[in-house]
Amino acid sequence: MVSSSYLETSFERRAQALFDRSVEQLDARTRSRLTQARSAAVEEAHKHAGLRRWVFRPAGALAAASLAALALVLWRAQEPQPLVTSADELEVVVGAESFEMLENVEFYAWLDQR
Amino acid sequence: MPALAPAFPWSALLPSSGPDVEEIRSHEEPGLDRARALDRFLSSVEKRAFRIARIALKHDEDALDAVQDAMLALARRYGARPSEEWRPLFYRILQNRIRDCQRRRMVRERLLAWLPTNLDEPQQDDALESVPDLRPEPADRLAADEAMRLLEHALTALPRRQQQAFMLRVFEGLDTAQTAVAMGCTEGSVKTHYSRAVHALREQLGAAW
Repeated sequence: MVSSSYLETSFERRAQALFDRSVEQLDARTRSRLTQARSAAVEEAHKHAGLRRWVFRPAGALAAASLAALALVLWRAQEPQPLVTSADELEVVVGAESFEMLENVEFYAWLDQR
Repeated sequence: MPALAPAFPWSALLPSSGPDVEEIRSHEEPGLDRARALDRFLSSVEKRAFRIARIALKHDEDALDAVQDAMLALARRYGARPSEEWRPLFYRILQNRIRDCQRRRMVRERLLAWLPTNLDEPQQDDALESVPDLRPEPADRLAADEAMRLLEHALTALPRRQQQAFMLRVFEGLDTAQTAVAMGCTEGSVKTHYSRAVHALREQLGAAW
């Protein structure tokens, strides 16, 4: 039963009382059909809730993984680049000849001036 | 969601029944809890919704179909919405279903008017329903039945929007804002339709009613 406190006139209150009475008098067949319809709707809601869980949870996990990958790529892009960027340069740096050259750097400087 | 540690077996510390247990369980199984809430909500509105649809459509089966469709649509589309929003949304869906049914009828009637024979099947009434009830009825019960019959008749004569406003406000008890959501219009329009409906019904039913 709905509260009638907001209804202003006796006309409205009477209309509501008559309607409430007619609702109470609904036959058993109609009540049974309404119960069946309600059960089907609740079942549907439960199914949809399950579907949402199965669809949206993996989708959420995928989105989170994508974001993490993107963040990693951006973070790596901001890191300072190494001084040696190719294998040839590395070879020059670590090669034994280079150390010999460094030991005689004054000689090479004199040779360059000549 | 409240901060309950998921790994800790809280329910083992509680008695097996009572409101606390229900609260904890409701957090453990939110889907089931929402299904129960929806069941309670639909149970609270289904009979009134049927009577409103029955008055608008003047047909039991069509009214049942409209209510069933509205229930399913609410469950599918708005089952995850807060339960406080369900009532105006449900009645909005129901009003749309009623309007669709009325439109289909109009189209069918126009088509049938062009056909040489009437192919519209008459409604199959339940044989038991046609058996007259011979029990003596008190005078006040008869008077109330007659008053409701007159009110229904007067309501069906109203323009659709006035009829909706009156039934949602008086029969279902929606406030002006909820009625506006259910009718898909402004609160000002609801007040206008409702005021005109009350005025028209008073005139039609007369002082005797």
